[in-house]
Order: sequence, then structure tokens, then C-alpha cells
Amino acid sequence: MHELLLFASVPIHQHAELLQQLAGLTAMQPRHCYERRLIFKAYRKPGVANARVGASQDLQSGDLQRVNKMLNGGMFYTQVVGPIQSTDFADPSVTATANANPDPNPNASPLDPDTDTKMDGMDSDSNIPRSAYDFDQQSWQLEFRDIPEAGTRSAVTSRVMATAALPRGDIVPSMNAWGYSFVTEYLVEGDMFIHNDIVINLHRVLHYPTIPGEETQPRHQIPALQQMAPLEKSGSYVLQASMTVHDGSNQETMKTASQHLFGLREQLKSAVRLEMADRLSLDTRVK
Amino acid sequence: MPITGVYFIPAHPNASTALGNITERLRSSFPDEDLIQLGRWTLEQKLMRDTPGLLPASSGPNQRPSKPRYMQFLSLSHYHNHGFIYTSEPAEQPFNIPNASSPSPAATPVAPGSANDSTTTSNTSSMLMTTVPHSSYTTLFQHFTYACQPFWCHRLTVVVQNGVFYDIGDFRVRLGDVRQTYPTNRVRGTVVEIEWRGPSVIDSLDGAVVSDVNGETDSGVDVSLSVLEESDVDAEFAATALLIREFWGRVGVEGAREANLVPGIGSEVKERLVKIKGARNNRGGLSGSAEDNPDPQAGADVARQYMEVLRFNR
Amino acid sequence: MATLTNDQIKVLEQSRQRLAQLTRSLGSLIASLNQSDPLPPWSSLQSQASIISNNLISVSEQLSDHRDLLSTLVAYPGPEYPGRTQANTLEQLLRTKLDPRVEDWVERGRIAGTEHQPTDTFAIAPSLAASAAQKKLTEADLAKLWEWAPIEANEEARRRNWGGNFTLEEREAGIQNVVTGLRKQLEDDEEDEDEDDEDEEEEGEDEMEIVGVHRKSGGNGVEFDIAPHHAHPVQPVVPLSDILRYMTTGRMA
Repeated sequence: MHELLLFASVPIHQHAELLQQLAGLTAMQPRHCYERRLIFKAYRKPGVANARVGASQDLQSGDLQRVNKMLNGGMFYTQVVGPIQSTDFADPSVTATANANPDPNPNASPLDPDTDTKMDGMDSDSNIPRSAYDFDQQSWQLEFRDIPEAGTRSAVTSRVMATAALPRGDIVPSMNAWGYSFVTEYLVEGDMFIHNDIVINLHRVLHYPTIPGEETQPRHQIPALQQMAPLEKSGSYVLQASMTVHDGSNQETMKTASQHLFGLREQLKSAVRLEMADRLSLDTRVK
Repeated sequence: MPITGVYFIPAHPNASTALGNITERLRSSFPDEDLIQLGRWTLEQKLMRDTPGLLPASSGPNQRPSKPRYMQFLSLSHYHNHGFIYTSEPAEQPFNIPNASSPSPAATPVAPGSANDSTTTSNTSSMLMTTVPHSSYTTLFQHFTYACQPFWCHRLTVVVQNGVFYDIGDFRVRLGDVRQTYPTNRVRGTVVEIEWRGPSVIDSLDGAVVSDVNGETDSGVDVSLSVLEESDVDAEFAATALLIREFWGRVGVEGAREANLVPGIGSEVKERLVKIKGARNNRGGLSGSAEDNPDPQAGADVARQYMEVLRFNR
Repeated sequence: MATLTNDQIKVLEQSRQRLAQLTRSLGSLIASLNQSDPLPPWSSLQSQASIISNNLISVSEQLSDHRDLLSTLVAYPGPEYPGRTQANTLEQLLRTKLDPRVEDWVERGRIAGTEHQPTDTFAIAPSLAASAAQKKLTEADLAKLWEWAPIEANEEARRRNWGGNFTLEEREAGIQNVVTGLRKQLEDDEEDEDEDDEDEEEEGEDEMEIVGVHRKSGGNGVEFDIAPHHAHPVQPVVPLSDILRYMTTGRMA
């Protein structure tokens, strides 16, 4: 599958009006969404060197070349995305006391040796804000996005994509076994619209109240929304218009899809400037 | 989740398989039973291997520190809601250790060692079972072949296309010829799955969880389950394994590879036990969100057994 | 790639001539303003201005009459082109986008064209032109506008034969091109809709999109013209590309 995209940066002062304009344009109410996004990174076993050609007769030289080529193939970042509800955030009134706690990360609480650990630490540390959020029931999907295609003539970002539902709950052991390690996570907050065959997202990145990169695994609790801070300090949003094309090799469909996106760009022209993204800013390759 | 055993009788390429022979033996060994074909079933397994392990350099005697790693994709028509992915545990952990601080014993993917009881840990297999919705099964396979070439390489695909099954006494027997379709077409052998359908403690456990998933209260859980321990589950599996072995002994076909009490078997059952007990002890209970798939882990044990016998090296 | 027909070459030559005329008359106006001291009499300036205006009209007509041809033409250097000596001209010829300065002019002209009061001047940076225009409306101007608008709107309304979902122009251009923003399929000649104005504008935009090259020269789209309204604009600190990079890899750099 292919994905075609246009982006725009939306200053915070324009956000409310743009929401209304999009609602008018798409004839639908904005759908407010929260998404947990876990970043995973492909890792290779250390110490793997290129094969010495001629080291063995076991493999035909053609096979060897093929394996060598595979070994030098691309490795990628990939995301595991899970929707959450506004009710999954911790209660802010409880949070007020939790602010005194320097470490709101529930993952850091010591492991309860009892088998009854679903609500681990529930009673031992009442300072930690809690919600009804149940990590074991969190649904996830794997979202793979290739680096955007280079040298395309049309002014639209185009990339290979794949999305697959994953089991609920703790996905890290599976991802580790599959060759991916957890890097970090953030939350995406925003609104979604559908305009014909275009999905419009007006969203922004929120940080959890810990230093990013400090977590070693996805958190099992969600803090209060008030504790989350936007990545872009001024609070600006990103407008993303995207379209999915099932058969990316079909030039005709790809062209039609880009034209639809350009149509939207023209309609929104005087409000925002939708553009293709800098290719390297969407580079998912692991280097 | 029924208790099963899987047997595989290899065949030489281009030779006839043991299928006819086994059917005949079933007929003659159980003369009191009507051997009526109840339906058909299919299987597909895609085997991936770690790419670095394919290099000749790593097969040299002095540089072979790690065992080959596998990722197996299995799809069974009798568990058509989801596919099974069975993956070797990473040889060395990435920079963060996934299980070390995991407070969740009830993770959906089977994470041997993440369950908190030490008996499970001692049972830890080196393979990790993940069940995924069927729609994801193909997408994920394509993902690994496309984006993970430096570490995963598709080695072969085998299928059972025209499997049949019979009920014999308290057992259900599934039979089928295993044919390799990738990279070349060839006969692999015959696979036999023997499922115990008699009374089992495990079944009552299934019922308990299903009713809970449907959003009912804890009243659906049989009180007696709270006294069930993991050791009881192990004993149940061991006892049923003996029954299955005895059954296979009566069929009397030689040269079969058996997968019965494979590592990690019963992990899901034990998880459920933990979950149910947890639900009883915690006021909250399980969040009974409505699932499209009422039991997303069903069949994980038999999938393990299939993948044990179908993990061909070449 | 097909070569040009004689007719097409003639069109190009005509365009060139008219543009040359325009340049000449602009040049002579500038020259007379710069050089004559005292300034030339108003009657002379007036006549020069009307010459320029006529030139502009003829250029504009020429360009729009042959829009189909001009918007599909692609320039490329032939082997005999003196690329070494005329590199600058070549660069100009091969541009696919307008010069940024020219884009600013076009933008300014476009905003001027959509303003109700054509007498407004835009002396400052073009991107701020719209907001400047907004602020310039004094109480008196506003009162004048309010006095003028109802009558004008009424007259405009009287000119139309009301009824039906689509205007005459829309029907002539083909109603399948009209973007109504409604999910419901409108039937032609049904009940009254008060969306006509909006529809016209959107239709106009659709048309431009097809032409592509021309989209800067005559667009409207006032319905989303909102940027100027903000008293306290807060520009984002983090560039979009950094945000996207973070979303992709979890790192900013």
C-alpha cells in the first residue's frame, strides 16, 4: 500500500478557526483522538560481519550474494500505535498530590512478587495518579512507513506503508523477538476529519511528564492530560492530509490521488499552505 | 483450550506419504468406531530464519556462538480468527530488558518468563508465541520480508490443503499431507493432530474467561477455580499427554516425530488462571471490552506443537 | 514532443509584441518621471497611464485567449541555443515557478483584486497587505461600506433569476464541477439554496487547479482568508520538519 501526504504547520492562534473551517469543508464534526505512539527500532545482532566470499561451499555463490544483499538491506524504525480515550487519563485531582512525587512513572515501582500484579503497586504508592486505564487491554497496531520516495515529480509526499493489528497488552516481548527494540513513546492529540477519500488530521505531539528517552518500556499508566506538555512549546499543530492507495504501482490511481490532495490544497490555500514534507524528516531508516 | 498432540511422519520427496497407511491403521485399530470424515481442514506455515545465520562464516566450528533463530507463521482453518507467530527469543536482549520490570502477568502475547510465578519461568521456552488477528497475519509476514531483510529471511512455506478429520471416541483426529510450496514444490510428509475432547479442568477455565470477556461479572467464575493451581494445570497436561500417546501407540505407525509437551505449552491457560484469580482478588476485575474475536489466543498450544514438528532446516 | 505549428508560433510572437509594448510604455513613464524637471503635466501622465492600461488589457486578453496553449507549453533549450553566453536568459526560460518577487506582486494584485475598495494602496510587505487593508478601515470607511453594500447586494440579487440549486454560470460550466460541500446530492432546479456565492468561488478554484500554471494569477478563496484577524499571532518555534522527524524516530536531529 502507498500513502500520499501533504503537511502544514498550524500556529496555535489559528487552530480554533481552522478546526471550524475544516468542519465546514468536510461537513462533519471534528473527531477528537488520542493516540499512544511507541517508536521501535530494528536492531541487528552485534558482531555480524559480511560473509567472507568463498568461505564455504555450503552456499552457492548466488545464494551468498543474495544473503549478503539481504544483510545490507534497510532496517527501519516502526511505530506501534494504540488509541486511548479521554477517560484513560489519570484524574487531575489525584494528580495534584502526585506532583509531589518526583517520579510519576509507575513502571519504576518495584515488581510485586505476588501473582496478583495486575494492579501492581495500587496500595503501596497512593501518590501515583491512577485511572481506569488497563494496559493489558490496550489495543495496538503496527504502523510501518518507508522513507518517502525520492525524486518524484509531483509535489506530494509518497511512501510505502503497512498497517497490521497486534495483540492487546504488552507488545514489547513480541517486538523484541521480532527484531525491534523500544526507543521511546509519545502521545498524539488532535482531531480527525474525513474529506471524500482524504483523511485530515490536525494534531500535535505531547510529551509524558518525564524526560523523553528516559523510559525503557511503554508506560502502563497514563498520567493526567494536564501533565502532558506539547513537543512544540508554542503549542502549534500539524495539519496532515493523507490518502491511502492500495496499488502504488498504478500510476493512474496515484495521479488521481495526488490531484485530489492538490484540490484540497487549493481549497485550503488561503488558510494554510499544505506542502510535501522534507523527505529526510520522514526518514524511517535506521542508520 | 483443548489439549492436543501432533505427530509428523516424514516422507521422501516424490514418494507416497503415510496418509493412506495411517487411515487404514486408524480403521483397524478402532474397529468399534465408525470412521466418518467430519470435514476438512487446512494449514499453512511460513518459516523464516535469521539472515545472519545463513552465512557460511557463522556455520564454521569456531564462530558459532548462537543457535539459529526462527520465526514461524502458522495459520489453521480450525482457528481461523487469528494467525500464530512463533519466534525465537532474542539471543541477547536489546538495550532494554523487556521482562525485567514488567508488572503485567497478563500480557496478551505469551511472554514466557514475564509471568511472575517461578514455575512458569522454569518452563520457559526459547520461542515466543504471539497470536495476531488474521488480517494482520499476511501484512506482518510481508512486513518482515520487506523491511527486515538484514535479520529475517523467508526459507520455506508448507501447506496442508486437503486435511480431513474424524472423531474417534474421546479424540478428534486431524490428518493431512504436508506439501512444501516455497521455494520448490515437494512432498514433506503427513501430519496428525490428536485432540482430547474428553472432560478436562481446562475447559471449565475456558468457560470462565469467555463469560468474563463478554462483560459478565465475576459470578461466572466457578469458585472451585480459585483453588486450581498452576501445578494442577501441568498435571492435567501431563495426564492428557499420556492418553494421547497411548492413542497414538494403538495406531502404531513408526517413525513419527512427536510434539506433545512442547516447551511453553499451557502458558495461555496458566495466564488465564492468573487473570481469573486476579479478577477475583481485585475489586475491578477484567475490563470486559467487547472483542471481535472472543478468544484471541485459542489454539496457541496446538500451534506450538505444529510448529515444533514443521520446523524444517532445509 | 510535438513541434509548434505556425499558428502557435504566431500566438507566441503576438504575446511577445504586446509584452514588449507594455514594457516600452512602462519604461517611458518611468523615464519621464525620473528625468523631466519639473514633473510632466498631469495631462501627459494621464495619457501615458491610459496607454499602459490599454497595453495591460491587450496583454491580459492575449494571455487569456490563448491560455490553453500557453499553459501547456514547455520550454527547453535546443542544441543551437547559446547556453554558454545566455545562461541567465536560459534560467529564466526554464523556470517552472514564478520568481519569488513576481509571486509577491501576483499575491498583492490578487489581494487588491478581492478588496472592496480598489483605491486602497499596499505600500508595505505583501504578506501583511491584507492585514494592513483590514486595519486601514476607519470608522468613516466602515460606515461608507455599510451604506454601499446593501444597495449593491440588492442590485446584484435583482439581476438574478432566483430558484434552483445552481446558478446559470454553474450550469454552463457543468454542475458536476460544483463543490457544494454537502453530502446530499443536489438535483438541478430544485429548492432554493443560499450557497451560490460560495459555490462559484470554489468552482473557480477547481478550474484553476486543472490549469495549474495559472493558479497564482487570478485566484480568489476569500472564504478562508483568516490569517490577518489575529491580534497576537504566535508563530511555532520548532520547524515542521523537526516535528516530523521526532514523530518518525523519536529524536529531533
